[in-house]
Amino acid sequence: MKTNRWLVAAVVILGIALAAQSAYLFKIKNANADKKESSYPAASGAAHWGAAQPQQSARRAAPIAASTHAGHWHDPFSHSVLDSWDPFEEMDQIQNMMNRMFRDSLNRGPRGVGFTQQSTFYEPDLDVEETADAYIVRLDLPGVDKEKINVKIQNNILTIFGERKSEKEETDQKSGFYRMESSFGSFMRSFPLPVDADSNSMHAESKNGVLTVRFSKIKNAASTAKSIPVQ
Amino acid sequence: MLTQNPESPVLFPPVDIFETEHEVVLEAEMAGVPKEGAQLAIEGDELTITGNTAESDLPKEYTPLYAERRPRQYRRVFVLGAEVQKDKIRAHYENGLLRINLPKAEKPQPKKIAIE
Repeated sequence: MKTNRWLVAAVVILGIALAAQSAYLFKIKNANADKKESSYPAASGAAHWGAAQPQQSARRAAPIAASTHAGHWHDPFSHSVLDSWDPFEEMDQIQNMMNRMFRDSLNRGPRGVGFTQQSTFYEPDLDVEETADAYIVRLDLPGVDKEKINVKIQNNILTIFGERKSEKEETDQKSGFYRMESSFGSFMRSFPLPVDADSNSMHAESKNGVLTVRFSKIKNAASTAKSIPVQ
Repeated sequence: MLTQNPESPVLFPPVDIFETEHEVVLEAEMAGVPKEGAQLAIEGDELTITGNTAESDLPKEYTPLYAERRPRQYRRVFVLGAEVQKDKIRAHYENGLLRINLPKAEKPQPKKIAIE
């Protein structure tokens, strides 16, 4: 399900990028057409059916004019435009942006696990909310015992991990599964804490299959900033 | 009742269904549903499970920073086979997991009739 969501997001982003590029090219084309007409009043004035011949000759003359007037109007495929805007470069940028998005999406699972690779951990859904004086983190962990949930802070990174043991696996060897939609095994989520989160005030509680972790905010986090004189 | 709040869509809870020697066990994951919000109804051959989340412990004013979870309601309907003893169904809810035990009916033993 999660992979699907990312794929849909990726497709939507690419679609928007494509539309934006098309719109931009179309705009440039129109702008060129306008400028062309104003630069060659004779050609536009002769643009009626009875005078096809002079119009054609004007068209044939246009490429030559383009090289001499390159500074005044832009052909989307001429070098002057490609110097400042490269559609392939823009595609590259989008690609990089998306790679970053997949990589940094809340540090899902161990490093290097992309959406094409299967993680050995399953990743419960997570919410983070900020109030005036606290942060609240919530995770869906239905059917996981309190004793099997670990919450840890190390180097200011909050990690919630544990194991959801499937009792069925051991006790009911003979039994057949009709449906298996739940995730089980090891789970892990981790992410860096905000600067003003007070890790000493952490309070974790599991209720109705939802783990809630609360932190207070450090009131004057900004004032702890030190300025260092340059010598 | 389930369609009253368009902002909280009705979802299928993920389920595991497995069979043991004497019963079929159905486990539905309904994270965030309090015990009072989990319901089970049998109508004819249909077994309906519903769950309403009531996350009232949130403060009134907050800014979501990451939101993968959603306020939601659960509903799912299963059709029971004839071999399930409907009057002996048991359900247990704990920790966001609804476990339903559906006992299988004893197979009728062939009755031997002595030939006279």
